[in-house]
Amino acid sequence: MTSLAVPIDDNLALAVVQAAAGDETAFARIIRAHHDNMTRVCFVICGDLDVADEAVQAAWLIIWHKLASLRDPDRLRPWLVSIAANEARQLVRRQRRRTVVEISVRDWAAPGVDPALRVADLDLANALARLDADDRALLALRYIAGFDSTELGRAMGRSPSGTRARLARLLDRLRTELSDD
Amino acid sequence: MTDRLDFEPRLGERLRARGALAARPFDAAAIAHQAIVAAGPRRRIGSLAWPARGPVIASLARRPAVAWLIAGLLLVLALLGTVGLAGSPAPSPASLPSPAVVTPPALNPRLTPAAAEATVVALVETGHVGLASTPVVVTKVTLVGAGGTYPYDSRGNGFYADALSWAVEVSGTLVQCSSFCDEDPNGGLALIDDATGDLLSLVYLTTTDVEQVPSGDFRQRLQDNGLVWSTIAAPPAGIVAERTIVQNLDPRIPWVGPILGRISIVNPAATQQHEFRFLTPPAGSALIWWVSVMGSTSGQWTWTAFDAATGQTVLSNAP
Repeated sequence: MTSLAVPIDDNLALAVVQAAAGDETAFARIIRAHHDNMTRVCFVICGDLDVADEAVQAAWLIIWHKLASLRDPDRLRPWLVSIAANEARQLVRRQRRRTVVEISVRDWAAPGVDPALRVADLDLANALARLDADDRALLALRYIAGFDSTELGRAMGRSPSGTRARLARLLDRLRTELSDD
Repeated sequence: MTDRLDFEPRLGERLRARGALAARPFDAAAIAHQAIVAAGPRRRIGSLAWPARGPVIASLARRPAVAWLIAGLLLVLALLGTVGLAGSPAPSPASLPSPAVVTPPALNPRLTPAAAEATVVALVETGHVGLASTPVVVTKVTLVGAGGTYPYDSRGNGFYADALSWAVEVSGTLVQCSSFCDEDPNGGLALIDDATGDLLSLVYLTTTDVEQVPSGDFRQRLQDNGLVWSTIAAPPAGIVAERTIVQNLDPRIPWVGPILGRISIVNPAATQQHEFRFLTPPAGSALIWWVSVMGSTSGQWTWTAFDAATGQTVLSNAP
């Protein structure tokens, strides 16, 4: 397993208990620790910053409602990311019913982005655009959130073995589509 | 083309680089406040809304002896009623047609189609693939040879079978609860290993997947039975409350569970629309609502489909 994109503060058990009891400040602590990683995952799934933001906002609303039902505080991070990813998938599906979802490339124009990275990643953006939301979620949860196959299976509603097989096929497909140089 | 072993870590790096584009400063306190204000009072999704006790029942509850006496009398009456009804013809609600079965002749499976169907039904009933909150019906059973695929939408998504397997289409609403509950109103597809009977893979269908599932032949069977499968968008303006729907049905059902999968909250501000399905009679005017009911003593889900216009039971799995 590769390292996560963002170091995660997992020492939030007390904040979870307090937030579940209605403590807004404690809830903000959880958001401070996990919002960024959830946004990154949602962005890869949605391909659009605004939609990713919308998904994460919707996720926090759900999380506030359901925090008391979190059985295992040690699983906070995958629980939060799964909810955000699920919201992102749902948003993409709803969009897909109205129009073709485009993976935005405008964000590369942001100042401070290495031009070499910008060029190298265009084909990744195009390849992602050709995948459906579930496949993008699989990639984001595996390579950005660092989920193992059990966590992936739980998040995607599939068996761990089925998830591994799907991921392997997905990697094969991307390997042929991407010029990794 | 890159080396297979080299490709995965490099893909991971590129994905993380792309994800990093979304990293921006944020105000955690403001997000928390916004979420809490928007969420309103907390409610456990998946919990039952039990009717409030009336004053008479509440006063009886404070007198245990009277309450036990009334309970005993009710039990005796219920038993007498059951005995009395045993010999009389009970109204028999219509049943859905049996699933379509596709078994290529060249293959020699160990399981029968009925056994594959029963395997999936058992998985549903035991909650292994989610709790069924609306009728879960097996609509098609297909034997897939080793190396074969079973497509479930027009975009090329489908199962790949490593070994001889059964693809079993299921319609209905499944609610998955782990740390939280998530509803899948369009049913799913299960892949069952013919050799072991194990669940190999399961996919919950999106609304767009419903283009092809349930299959055309099953829809035809529904039509032959006077029912039409249709997808209807939720009203775009406002929230549709469960009680709005079941109000007229209350005399028939003492306890109404959440109508998961049938009614969704619509958020006009975000222009989000959920979709939900109905079975409609051919005329298409009167809707049929699936209503899930938690048994008062058994704790089991039963379901009934009511004709919204007449209140008549159309289908039910209630004994």
